[in-house]
Amino acid sequence: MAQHGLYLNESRNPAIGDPKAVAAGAKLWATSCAGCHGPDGSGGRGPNLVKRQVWHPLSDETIFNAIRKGVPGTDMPPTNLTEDETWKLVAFVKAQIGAAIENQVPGDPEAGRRVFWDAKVGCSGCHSIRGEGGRMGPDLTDIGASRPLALIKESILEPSKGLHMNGQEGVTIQLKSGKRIEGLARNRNNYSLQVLDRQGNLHLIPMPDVEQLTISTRSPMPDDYGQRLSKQELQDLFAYLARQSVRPPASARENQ
Amino acid sequence: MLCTCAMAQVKFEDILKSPGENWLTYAGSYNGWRYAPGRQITPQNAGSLVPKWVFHVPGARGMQSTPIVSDGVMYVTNANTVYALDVRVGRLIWKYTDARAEKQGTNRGVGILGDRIYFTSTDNHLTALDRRNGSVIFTKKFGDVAKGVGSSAPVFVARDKIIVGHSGSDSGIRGSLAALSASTGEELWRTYTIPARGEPGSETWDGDFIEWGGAGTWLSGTYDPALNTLYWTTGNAWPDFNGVWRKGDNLYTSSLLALDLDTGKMKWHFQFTPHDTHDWDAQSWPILLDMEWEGRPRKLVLHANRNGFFYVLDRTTGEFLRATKLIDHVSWATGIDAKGRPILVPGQDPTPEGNWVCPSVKGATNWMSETYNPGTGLLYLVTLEQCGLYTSSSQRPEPMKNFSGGGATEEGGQVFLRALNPKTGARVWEYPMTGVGSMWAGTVSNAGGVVFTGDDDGNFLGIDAKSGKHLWNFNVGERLTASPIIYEQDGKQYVAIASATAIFSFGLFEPVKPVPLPKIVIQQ
Repeated sequence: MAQHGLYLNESRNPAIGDPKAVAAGAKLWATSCAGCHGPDGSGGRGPNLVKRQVWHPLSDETIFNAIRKGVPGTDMPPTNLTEDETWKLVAFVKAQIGAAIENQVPGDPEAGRRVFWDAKVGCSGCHSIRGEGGRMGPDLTDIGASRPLALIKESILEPSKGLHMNGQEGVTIQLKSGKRIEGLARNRNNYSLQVLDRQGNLHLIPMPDVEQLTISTRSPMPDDYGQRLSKQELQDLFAYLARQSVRPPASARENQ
Repeated sequence: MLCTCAMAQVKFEDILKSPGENWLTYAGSYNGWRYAPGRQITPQNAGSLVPKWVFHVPGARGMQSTPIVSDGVMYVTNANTVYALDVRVGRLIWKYTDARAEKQGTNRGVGILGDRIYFTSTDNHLTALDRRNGSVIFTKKFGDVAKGVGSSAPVFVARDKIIVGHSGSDSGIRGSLAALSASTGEELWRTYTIPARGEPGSETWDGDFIEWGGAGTWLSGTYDPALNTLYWTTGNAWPDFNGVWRKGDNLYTSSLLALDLDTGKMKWHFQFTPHDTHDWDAQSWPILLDMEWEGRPRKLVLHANRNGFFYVLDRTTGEFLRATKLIDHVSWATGIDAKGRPILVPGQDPTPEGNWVCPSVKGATNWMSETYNPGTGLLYLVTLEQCGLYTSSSQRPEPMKNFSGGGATEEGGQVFLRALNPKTGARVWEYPMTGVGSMWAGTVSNAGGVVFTGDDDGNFLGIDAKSGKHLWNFNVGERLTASPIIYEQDGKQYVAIASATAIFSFGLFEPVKPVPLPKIVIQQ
């Protein structure tokens, strides 16, 4: 029987990913867009473009059209910029909200790799990349290709900010059997818990087995990396993480 | 009851013992029986089956996934996404999406080995994930969408090998089957199901299009560990409906191949529909059964084919033993001769005006699972009595442009669950269904003597394996498009199936015990 598929094509305007275009776009942003969307895209009267409810990549065309034509039914108006200027704005927007890997993130990724895997820093105690590292925290194999840089930074510097609690709660469970489990609740409701402990073991727990459940309002991720790491170490770490991708990035694929 | 969950490594030996508490391979066991040895659900108590939980898969339509269950976790798939569920309650533990896959399509399920889940994207990437949290271990590309191939088959694991196939025959591909290393994903062997020019078998292709001949390998297969042989079916020849561009038998399309697991070498092949012009892929199940045949013990493979016939072959040699009619209405052949070739009726090819042929393009049966129950000694499968209008296009074929050389309709018809005696091919009983012939649900059975399947009307059914009588049904409210499994948890037996958009799990009724709200302390 037919196995027809949809082939997704992304046409790439040369402005995308070009630092000069991004810089030009930043100037246009400051005058035309920051008033509603904030100086860095984090919102104001207009929505936060960086942190949407469910992050997914927006196509270049979608952003271009939203700027050109506005968004019907909302306060977002069409703009009078030339096509060339609009593409520069798209380049800037993409740099803010696009996957980190599509943007040139400054820093030394090799030095950043050493920071990540340094046992004293502790990232790899909870996080894995390509099968190495801990299992309690989210896997970072695809982090550069699946998150904008702004979110990666926030997760490291302010891990408890804007926490979506489900899937990220630090929990301590005292079971009626006497056993105690400390870890991350991947899911929780009144009837069951699914927990990854610090050793990376998975526990599937019916709530009747629980004597007491302690939930932390803070992320299990330490929140003092902004103080413990130097500015350079952080920059290098961002550069390393921004390059992590399960698949080669779109720009690399084009060159194949 | 608490899962202590150091998560035991799944070994090849565990898959050999599947199914039981766990369901570790697509067909339950390597012989394809889809038979659960537990007896808890019986014809006497099946009437009290109730849904235990439902998991809605976001964005799913017409899901074809068969779940894998191991250590209290159920793994289900939709295109390019794996979900790991707490099997007791149907709650999500983790999910993984291959967000940059270049195609969409369907996915029939994962493979499991060690501490890994193996999963293919629709654009031919194998990804190994950690079973505990879905983290990526490796991703390896094993095929190129630029050559028209996609991947929808369930991942098949045998010993240390991951077997992956390709879809895309309807647009022209050079079909193949590959074995990848379970540790690294690197390709260990690849067997092409379409010969290259000059290779044996290429003499059965007269025309310009052998390089795009089809023979996709888009369904899983079965495996005999003693013979170390994989039994794999191949898809239609391309272009589907106009054979003028490919005169000859077109090996190895619409065939069953016996391949050595270690090398991929073809031990034998059997072609069910030589020079197929009705899109009758051979993708239905090669069920392995040892049975006495004409006075001596024999290793057999049973194959109910889309073309309307039910075949028995010797699985050691590929020798044709017998074929009988699977459905009542077969117009294209009067029977199968002593060598296994169809005795053709003239004038049954597609024509520009349209030719009415039975069975329809959907076929007498299809990829939906079958079950062999050793308790009754019967083979249970879903069959379709349907004819259709087949048209041919004289347009010169162009590969990878969704051109299939014509078209076919599927009109009306009726679905029957049928029980066959594998020795004689005789139909022991049948269970007729109402509907429009659109269901894809397969079958599963247990030692208790119940056969489960979906009907053509959105009901999940329990049928008495001996008598064919209705025992139980549950209206899931939408089409059933996948094949069910049976697993156990805490000594209780459950049946699960994916409907078009959700996973349902059913078990025997027990009153729900009140759950006191837990004592929760919020720590600042």
